[in-house]
Amino acid sequence: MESKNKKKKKVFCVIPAFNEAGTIEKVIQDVKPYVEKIVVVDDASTDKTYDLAKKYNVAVLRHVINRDQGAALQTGNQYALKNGADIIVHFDADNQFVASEIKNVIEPIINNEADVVFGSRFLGIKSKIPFFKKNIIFPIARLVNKLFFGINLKDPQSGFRAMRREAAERIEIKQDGKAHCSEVLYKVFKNKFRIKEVPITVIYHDFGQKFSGGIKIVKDLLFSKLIN
Amino acid sequence: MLSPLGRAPTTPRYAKATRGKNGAHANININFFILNCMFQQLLALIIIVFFFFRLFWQKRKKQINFNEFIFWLIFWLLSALAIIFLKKIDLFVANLGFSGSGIEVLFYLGIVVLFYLIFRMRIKIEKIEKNITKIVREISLKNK
Repeated sequence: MESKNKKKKKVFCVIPAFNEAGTIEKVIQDVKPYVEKIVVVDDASTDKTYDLAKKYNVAVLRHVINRDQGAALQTGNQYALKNGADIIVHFDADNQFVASEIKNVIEPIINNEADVVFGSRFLGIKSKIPFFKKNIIFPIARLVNKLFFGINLKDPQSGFRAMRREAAERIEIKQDGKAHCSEVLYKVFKNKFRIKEVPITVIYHDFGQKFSGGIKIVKDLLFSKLIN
Repeated sequence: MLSPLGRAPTTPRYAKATRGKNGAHANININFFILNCMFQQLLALIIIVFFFFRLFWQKRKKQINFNEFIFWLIFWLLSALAIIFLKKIDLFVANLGFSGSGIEVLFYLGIVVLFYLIFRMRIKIEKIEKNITKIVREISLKNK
């Protein structure tokens, strides 16, 4: 979007939303100026998320049964690919990311420096990360990524990322739950896509992923290793 | 219910009977033991027969499919055989070098089988979950 001399890329922003009626409108309004199309995937919310998103001129997909975040992202990816997206951005519906940073995240792709870009909470820009999360959960998450996939990244569980069309075609998110972060990382490395980490701000409204959630991620990953 | 099998003579209940002065008491004791064994075996067989009938009843009511029916049929048949030939199994197990009695080894085996079945079930559930996601995704993309 920022480039003048290059062909304009179609940027799609996929926003998985589960019971985010309180924030979804603001997120849509914030994100809108930075992308060509917004795809909200309502993951069978029980509140007004779907109706609120429908009010805006955005694509709203709806899961009839709650399938969790990873599944919603993959649904959004498929819709975006079908509708000719060049770049797909993943963004959270709970207003914890800053929409204006989308342009930083997609820039390396537009400049052909990377195929997949991860927003990182640990580079440069300050995010107030809760102590427990910073010192206990993330080191464990990093260790898990390293053990399972041999991946070394600063921010192990970033939900803010952008990928080139070709990458999205190859990275099929099969982990329906929150383990999609690790899964995407793994597939990026397996396919040898060029990656880049870009600093982002994260505003923590509440605790986000709890420790029990982390344990579930490890369980999901272990199990998928076992049966695949 | 079945656990004292094969060990019974050493428990105090039986020890009391042996406190007699001659072999006659010991004889009674052995008879009592055999009777007791048989009683327990009989009880187990009755329970198995009950499940047998239930199985056929379920089959007739078409609550279970053929494969399941065969599986449980073989399962109960084997259990019945194991109960009837408990003494032989005890001997066999002892020859294999296990310290426990036959019924205990059967329990161990049972747990192993259960673990395997749970594992298979989990894989199956995982597959079903994946398929549900696929369906949900298709519907959401179609309705767009």
